[in-house]
Amino acid sequence: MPAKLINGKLMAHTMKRYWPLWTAFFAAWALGLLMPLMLLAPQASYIAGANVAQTMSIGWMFEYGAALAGVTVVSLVAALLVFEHLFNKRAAIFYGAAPVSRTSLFLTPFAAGLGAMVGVELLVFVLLGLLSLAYPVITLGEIATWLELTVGFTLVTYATAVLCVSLSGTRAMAVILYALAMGLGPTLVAVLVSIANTLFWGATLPLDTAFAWLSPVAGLAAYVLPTQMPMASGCHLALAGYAVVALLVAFGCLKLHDVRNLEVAGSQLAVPKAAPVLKLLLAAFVVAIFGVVALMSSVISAQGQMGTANVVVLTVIMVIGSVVGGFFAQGVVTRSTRSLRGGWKYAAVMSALCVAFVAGCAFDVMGVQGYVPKADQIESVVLDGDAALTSPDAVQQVTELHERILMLGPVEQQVQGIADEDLYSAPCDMTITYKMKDGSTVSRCYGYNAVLPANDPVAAEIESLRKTYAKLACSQEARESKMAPFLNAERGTVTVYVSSNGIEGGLLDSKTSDTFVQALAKDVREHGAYLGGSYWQEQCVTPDSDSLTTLVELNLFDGDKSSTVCLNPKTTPNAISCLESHFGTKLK
Amino acid sequence: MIEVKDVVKTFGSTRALDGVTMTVPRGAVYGLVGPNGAGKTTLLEHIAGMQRPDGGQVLVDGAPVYENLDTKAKIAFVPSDLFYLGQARIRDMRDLHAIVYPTFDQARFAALSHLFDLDENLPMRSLSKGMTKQVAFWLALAQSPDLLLLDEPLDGLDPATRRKVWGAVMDDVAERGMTVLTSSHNLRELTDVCDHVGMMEHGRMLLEHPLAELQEGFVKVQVAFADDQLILPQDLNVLHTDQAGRLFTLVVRGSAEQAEAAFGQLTPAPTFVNILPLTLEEIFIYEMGGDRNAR
Repeated sequence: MPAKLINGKLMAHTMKRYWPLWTAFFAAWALGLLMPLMLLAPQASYIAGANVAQTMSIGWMFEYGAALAGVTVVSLVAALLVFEHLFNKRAAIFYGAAPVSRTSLFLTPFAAGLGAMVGVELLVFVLLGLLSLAYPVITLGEIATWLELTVGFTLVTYATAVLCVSLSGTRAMAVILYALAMGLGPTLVAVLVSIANTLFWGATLPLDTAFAWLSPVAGLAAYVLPTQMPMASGCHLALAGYAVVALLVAFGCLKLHDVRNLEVAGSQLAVPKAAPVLKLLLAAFVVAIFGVVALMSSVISAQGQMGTANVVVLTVIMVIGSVVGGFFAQGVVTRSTRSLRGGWKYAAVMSALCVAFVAGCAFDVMGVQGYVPKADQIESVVLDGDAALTSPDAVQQVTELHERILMLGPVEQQVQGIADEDLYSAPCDMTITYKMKDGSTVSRCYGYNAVLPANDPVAAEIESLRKTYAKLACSQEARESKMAPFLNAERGTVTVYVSSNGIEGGLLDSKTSDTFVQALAKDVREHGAYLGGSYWQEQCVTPDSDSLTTLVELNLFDGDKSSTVCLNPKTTPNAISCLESHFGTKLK
Repeated sequence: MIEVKDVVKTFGSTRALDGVTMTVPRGAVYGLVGPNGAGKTTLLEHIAGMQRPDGGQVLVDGAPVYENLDTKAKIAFVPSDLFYLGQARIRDMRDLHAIVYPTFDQARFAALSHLFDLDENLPMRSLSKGMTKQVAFWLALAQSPDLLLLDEPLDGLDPATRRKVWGAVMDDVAERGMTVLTSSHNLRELTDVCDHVGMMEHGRMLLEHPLAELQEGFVKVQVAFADDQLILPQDLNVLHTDQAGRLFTLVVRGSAEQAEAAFGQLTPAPTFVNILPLTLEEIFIYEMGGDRNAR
């Protein structure tokens, strides 16, 4: 009898057996996507202009995100159901003794689950296509993107679910493994980075999408989910990459299934030798939760320098989390509270790791806190978030300022009677972001809010540091770099909103906005205008004299960049003239 | 039909099968007996092709069973706990068997329905343990297998149903030459149906014989002496000794003729000698543990 890779009749039987799940999956799409579109599309013709596309685009972005969330859940449920023989010993004996090859015993339910889910998605796609024919406001591009993303998400999350199912012998353990696969990596990294950021003075280690790849769903959300239409080619490539990995994972699961002892159905783990690794991961997950609690507690601030007492409190919380995590992990994997004795070693390992981590950060073992990049390795420096300096001289001055800041170090509060939360709630008034030539980024943020006597030499040094920083952030190069995104933007894409003054506020029309941007750029070049709020006007425009009256405050938007501008006759005469011409009145 | 050669299987630190060797001729009804944990179920699972041995070979009709779909299609395995789909009815399990087993015959299934007297529309969950076992036999026999493997098959069946079920099995043995390998603790019943017996302990086969040969190899001897002192012949293999008053009861490995000849040569001669056959249960008890199990 030739061995079939997939037993078609058995696959159909499996798909038919779990019809409630596929029906619920379809119903979710019908209620969440098809029906809203059917209601929205006829009304779209009453929405004016380009906002139709924008409104629909926002809606589709939501649907793409909902697709990821939905298939993440359904994939797990599907895998738990179709691979019954991996959890049920009786089923294992039945299918193990049946004239079905091991390969077919894996591929048949795999195909049944994946096929059913993709089948539902294809059906929804066909219905969307019919809607698109009836209402052209629903574009074929958008629904094609929906199908591409949804099927891709399904493949990745389903392969992950099957991997978790293949490694476990009970449904509960499979769910735990899935939760770990989806959540542990980024959560743990986020907690560790956040703790490090509270322990390092000034350092702001990046908490961006760099670590999202540790979790399939986080990676898909970070690298694949589009933020605009049409979808960027990078998103297509990322999805293709994930799909390839998913197929490799599925192949690995097939090989694992071939050698799996079916008798482990009903036992927690299919590979008992992996128990120590799983216990450590579970313990780490518990520690991460305790870390989140520690960060959210009022004892520990997420900003500023942490005092010795708080470091001790943090360490104690983490050690308690390690102990709880070690015993929790032991109990979950052995499914017994009687064998908790074995949890001591995992508790000890996690405790040691936590203490080492906190101590390593507190004592800056890796030299993160005291690190100042070499000027010749820096491509540019950004101050105040968006004031970029590229000239070697400016970069050198920034590094020298940075070294002075580190030499001074954090300043302890010296005045009695001020509440603790005020001690460590200072904003970062000096931010420095180095963009290195190797493409990496180093960010630092320093703030001083200690209340010191006026004749204190430390107070004088702090003031000197602030002035040096302001001088660099207010330099011509910095001011023009802040203006550049708006100046270089495509015509008609910069939005100017008059937020406060004595004249009627609101959005300026596209033509006036373009004229205004040109006028403001001229003011930046010729009159020392600065894009920033009243604080920066004081620092950059009138650092040594009385403050200027702000006649008008506006907000500029260009996609993801925004800025505030304070207009006054001295530094922004051209911009004021533009507005007066538009409103037909003098600004006072 | 079945050849098991030095099969070894280890689960973690437990050596479930420790070099098992066994032969089951075609058309035989082979009873596999042994204490709990002897490895009977594990051995059956190997013969059913569910397990891959760590060492040795399991051959059915000269071919390895594991991952051999042609061979597995000829085997029906009735485990001690029957699998059924949640919410399934008997007919749903019939349909599943028909999908999975190419030799499953719907017509034969229908023809056997009179034997089991169960409504196909009954939900599996509503069935008692005995009824579930009946369904298991029903499904297995509908496959018309060449080899029927039974693991504790009679557990939960009432005597009338047992007779009915064994009758159907024996009919297939007689008509089609089906081979049956069954494990059971009910040795009295095995004595009625089996023609071969194998005894396992600690993952090894202690002995296997045709039943008739086995029974001929053990006898019970009741003997009495004038001075109430037991005198044993030197070349007699005595497994167990018991005394009630002046009467000694011995369980002896050997034939009735050998025992009779041995006691006949004794000096002084016993005042009373009676030789009786042993039941399979008694052979099992004394072979497994002797005095320890006899009391």
